[in-house]
Amino acid sequence: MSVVVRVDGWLAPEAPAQRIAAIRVIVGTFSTIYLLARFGEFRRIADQPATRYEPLGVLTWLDTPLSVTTVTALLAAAILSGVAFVLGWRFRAAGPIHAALWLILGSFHSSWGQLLHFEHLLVIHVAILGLSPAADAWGVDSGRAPTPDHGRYGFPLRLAAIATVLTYTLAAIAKLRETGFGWVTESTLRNHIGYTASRLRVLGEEPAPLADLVDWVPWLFPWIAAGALVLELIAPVALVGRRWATAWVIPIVLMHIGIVATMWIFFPYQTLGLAFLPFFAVEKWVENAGRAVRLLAPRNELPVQEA
Amino acid sequence: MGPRTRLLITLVMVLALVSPALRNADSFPLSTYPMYAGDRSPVMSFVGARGLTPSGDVVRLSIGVQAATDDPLIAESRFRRAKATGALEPLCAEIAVRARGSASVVTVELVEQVFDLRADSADPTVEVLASCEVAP
Repeated sequence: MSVVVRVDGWLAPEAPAQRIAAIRVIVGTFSTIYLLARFGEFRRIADQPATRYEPLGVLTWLDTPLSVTTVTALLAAAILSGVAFVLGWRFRAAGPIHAALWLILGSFHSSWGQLLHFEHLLVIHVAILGLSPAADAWGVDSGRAPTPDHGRYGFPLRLAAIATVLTYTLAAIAKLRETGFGWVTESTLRNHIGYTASRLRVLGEEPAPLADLVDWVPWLFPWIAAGALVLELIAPVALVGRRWATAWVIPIVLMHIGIVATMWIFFPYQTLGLAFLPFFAVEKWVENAGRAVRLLAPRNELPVQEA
Repeated sequence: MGPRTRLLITLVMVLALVSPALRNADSFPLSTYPMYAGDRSPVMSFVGARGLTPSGDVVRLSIGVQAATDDPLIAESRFRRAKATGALEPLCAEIAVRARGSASVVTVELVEQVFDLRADSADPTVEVLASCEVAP
């Protein structure tokens, strides 16, 4: 067996169409709700003076910011295409359109002097799903005939999983490049937590509930920093198999919860666990949940008439 | 799609994702993911806005009034940039318009607050950078 074929066996494992469909529905629902929730924020950003505009991403070529009207139209189109994405309606068009609109809106959101890293992985996953056959099952246009397991459903999920682990490895490399092992041995993490707490106070907000941990247990922070750095560095182990993925994902989600509790920095896509769905047989969770709902639902059976 | 095409797609994606780290250039959606990576001094300064009542009492202004956003990163960058470009007066006037709805605020001040995490006191030192009246 050639190397390419063996690598391909890992890159494109046979998977049910329902797995990628379940992830399409969950990620698409999150993406659409996120856009709805940030509708006002995107419009407020567009209403700023143009002098604050520093274009990047796919908008690098655009010297002047998009108008409020244009941003509103793009948001509306992104939300509508998001609904089609979730429903699997005209997915061959809706998937790429939703991804393209996200690329524009995400670039615009980060084009005001501050790169926001909350949306990067979501957009990469939306692009992978949007360009894949993610609506062959559980979509309004899906055929009724059962779809056999196939590598074409496993491949996009493998790509999404690789993208997830790479973001963490890159984050670890950035720390080592910028600060070296001082990120662990010095008080860098403590100072970052103190920084976010002070910034919130200046901006009229309350610091995170566990921000004061830096004063209560300062000796703990080098250990926390070391744990976080190691977890990010070893992210590719999650690609080895489902048990490895579980063993890596649980502490990573706990790390994100810790970031919320100490800094009020909420990476919703990661903290809610959605970034890690491509590692798991999500369709079984959905089917089990459906079974549980059916068992718990009250039965409206007609009484049987006795002869 | 054949095995070679899938392998090529994977290699292109991996190369694209790591390219910002190779070039050390952060962007969207390809990034170096530098969040909290840099060294952070225990002495830190922030520019922000606060309100004053007719009797001179300090009133905290919400992030929405201060920066017309609910994102602290965007708010911080807005103030930092206004200070760097000498645009504090127009920013103060902009905030004064939004502060009109805040009860009893008659003056808006843009202040720089310096915190020292090593100090015993958590109170920052404060320097007023700009001041403007809130129209009644």
